[in-house]
Amino acid sequence: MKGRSAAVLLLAALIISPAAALMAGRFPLSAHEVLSALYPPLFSEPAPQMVTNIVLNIRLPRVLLAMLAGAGLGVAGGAFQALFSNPLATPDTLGVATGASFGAALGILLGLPSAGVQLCALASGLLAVAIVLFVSRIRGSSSVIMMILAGMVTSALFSALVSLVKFAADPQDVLPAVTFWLMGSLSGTTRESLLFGSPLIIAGTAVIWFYRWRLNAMTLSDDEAQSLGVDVKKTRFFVVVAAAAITASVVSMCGLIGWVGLLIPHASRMLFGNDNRRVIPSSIVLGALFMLAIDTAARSATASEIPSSILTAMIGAPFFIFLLRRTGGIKA
Amino acid sequence: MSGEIAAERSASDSHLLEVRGGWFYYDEGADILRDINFCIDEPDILCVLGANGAGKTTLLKCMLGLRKWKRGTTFLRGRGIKHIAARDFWSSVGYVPQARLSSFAYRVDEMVLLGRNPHIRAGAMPGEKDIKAAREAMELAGVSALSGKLCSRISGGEYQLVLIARALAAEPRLLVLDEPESNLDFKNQKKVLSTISSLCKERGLAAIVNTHYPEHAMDIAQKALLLMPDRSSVCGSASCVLNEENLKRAFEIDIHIHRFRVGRRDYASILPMDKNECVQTERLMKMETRIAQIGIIIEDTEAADKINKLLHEYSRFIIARMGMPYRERNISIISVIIDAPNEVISALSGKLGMCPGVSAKTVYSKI
Repeated sequence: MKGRSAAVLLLAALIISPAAALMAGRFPLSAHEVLSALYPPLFSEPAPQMVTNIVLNIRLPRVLLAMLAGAGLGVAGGAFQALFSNPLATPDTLGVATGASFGAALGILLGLPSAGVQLCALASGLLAVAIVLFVSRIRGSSSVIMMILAGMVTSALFSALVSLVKFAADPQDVLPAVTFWLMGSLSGTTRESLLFGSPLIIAGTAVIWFYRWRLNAMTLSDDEAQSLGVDVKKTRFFVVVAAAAITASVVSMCGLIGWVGLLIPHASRMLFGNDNRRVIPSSIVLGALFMLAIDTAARSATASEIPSSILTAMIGAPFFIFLLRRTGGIKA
Repeated sequence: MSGEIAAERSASDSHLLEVRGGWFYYDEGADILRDINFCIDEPDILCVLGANGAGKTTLLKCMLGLRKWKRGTTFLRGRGIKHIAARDFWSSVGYVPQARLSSFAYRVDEMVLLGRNPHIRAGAMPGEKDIKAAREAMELAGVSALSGKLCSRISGGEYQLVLIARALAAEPRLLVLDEPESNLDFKNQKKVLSTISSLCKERGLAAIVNTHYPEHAMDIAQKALLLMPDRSSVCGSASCVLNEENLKRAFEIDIHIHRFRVGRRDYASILPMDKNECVQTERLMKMETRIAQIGIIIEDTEAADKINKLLHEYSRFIIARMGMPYRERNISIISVIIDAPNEVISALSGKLGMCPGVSAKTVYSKI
C-alpha cells in the first residue's frame, strides 16, 4: 500500500509542479498572472502583454519540453534495462545518444536550420542502432552481451566523429555553439522546436507503453521469453527503435543529458517493484518531474543558465546514492 | 475431460506431441542429435536421459522450436509446429527451463502471472481471469504461501516450483521440464518429482522431463528416451529401456541396478561403478554366500530333462540333492540344497520358476 500512496503523491505532483515551474524564474510571476495568461476568459482584465509572452512563448514550451524529454529519457532507460536485462543499461548503451549527438553537431557545422539539425540527429541516432544491431547479429540472433559491446564500440566511433566535427568547426562561432549544445540545455526551446520534436518522443513512449507487460518476459532469457509466447525478435526490434527514436529526438533538442535514463527507472523500481507494468508509467511521471525540477533550477538559480547535464549529474548522483542506501539496494 | 481427449484423439489419431526424424547439429558432420523419434500422450511422463553433452537440453529446445531441427519435425496433435501460431503452441505446452534468476527479481505472483502471457493479446494487460488462473496454478504447484515474496528471496526448490506454477498458469496439456531436480537437496527433489507425477496422474497432463538420475526416471516415468554417446537413441517404456546394459552404454560406466521393496512398493537404486569397484564387488559377492533350499515339483515329466540340465550347470554350488518320483500322481519332487552367492541363488530359482510344468520355491537361510 506504500506503492499506492506514492502513486497518488506523484500524480498530484504532476499537476502542481508545472504550475509552480511557470511561476518560477528570473522574472517571478504570481499564480494569478500565470493563470490569466494561460486562460484569459476566467479573468475580467487580460494579463499584460509581457506576462503573456513570458508564459506562453518562453516558459510553457520549455516546461512542456522538459517534462516530455524527462519522461522520454526515463521510459527509454527503463525499456533498455528491461530489454537487455541489465540494470546498467541506459539510452547510451546502444550508442544512440552519441550517434544522435554526432548528427546534430554535423548539422550545426553545416549551418542547417534547427529542423535540419534535429533530422540529422535522428538519422545518425538510428544509424547507430542499425550498426549495433548489425554488428551484434551472429548466426541470426544477437546476444545481450554482444549488443552492449557493439553499443560501446559504436558509441566510441561516434564520439570520435563528434570530436572530428569540433576539430573542423570554426572556433569563433560554431565551436562554442556545438560545445554548449553538447553540454545539454533546454534554453533554445521554442514552440516550433517543441512541435517538431514531441511527436517522436510521444510515439516512442506510446510503443514502449504498449509493450510494458511483455517487457517483463523480455528480462528473462530469450528462450524463456519465447516459451511465454513472446515474439522476442519483434518485441526487441520495436522497443529498441522506439527507445532510440526518443533518445535521438531528445538529444537533438536538448543535447546530451545523462543520468536521467539510469536514475529514473531505478527510482521507479525502488518505489514500485520490478513489474514493468508499474515501472514504465512511473518512469514517465518521475522522469517528467525530475527534468522539470532540473530545468527550472537551471534557468532560475543563477543569472546565467547552467547546462542541465551538469545539474542532472550533480543532483542525480547523490540522490541515487541516497535512494540506494535508504531502500537497501534495488528492490530486488 | 478424459472423454473429450479420447474423442479428439480418435478423430485425428495423432499423438499429443511427436518428433519424427529429428536431426540437429551446429556444424555439418558433427551431429548433436541423430534421427530422434518419439511420441507422448497424456497422462504419461517421458524422461530424457543421457550423459553430459549428450544433447538433452538441445533436444528439448529443438522439440519446442526454440532451436530449429536441421531435419525432421515436431508435431503437436498431428500438426507440424511450424504451422502453429506461437501463442497457440505455448498455451498447450508449458516449458520449465533450468532455474536461473533474472537481473530483475519479480514477486512470486508476478512471475507466475507471466505464464499467462500466451493467453493475453498483444498490448493487453492480464485481467481478472488471468490472475485467477495464476492463483490456481500456484495452488497446484503448492506455492500459494510464497505469493508476495520476491523470487530472489526464496530457496532453490521453491523457485523451481514457482517456475512449474508459471508453466501451469497457461493451462497447458504438456509440461516440458529441463532438469527440474538438479541442484536440489533430497527433500526438494522428491517434492518437485512428486508434484510433477501427481499433476500428470490427477490432472491428466503429459510431461517430458530431462534428468540426470535414472532412478528418478524409474520412479515417475512411463517412457524413457536414452541418448547415447554415439548419437543414437533408444526410446521405449521406462522399464524396458532403463536396464543395466543400456545405461552402461549411455553413461559409459558399469552400472548395477539394485531392486528392492519398502512396504508395498518396489524401488530401484542405481549404482554406477568404476572398473576396480566392479571387480571388488564381484569378489565380495562371491565370498558372501548363503545357504538355501530349493523345493521343486515337476508336474510335467517332459520338463525333467531340462531341470536336470539346469541343475547340472549349477552343480558346483549344490551341496546336496534328493529326488523322489511319486508315480501314482506322475510327478517328481526334488529338493536341492545350495551354498552360493545371493545372485546365483536368485538366478537359479528364477530360471526354475520360468520352466513350464514346474513349481519351485526357495527357502533362504538367515546366514
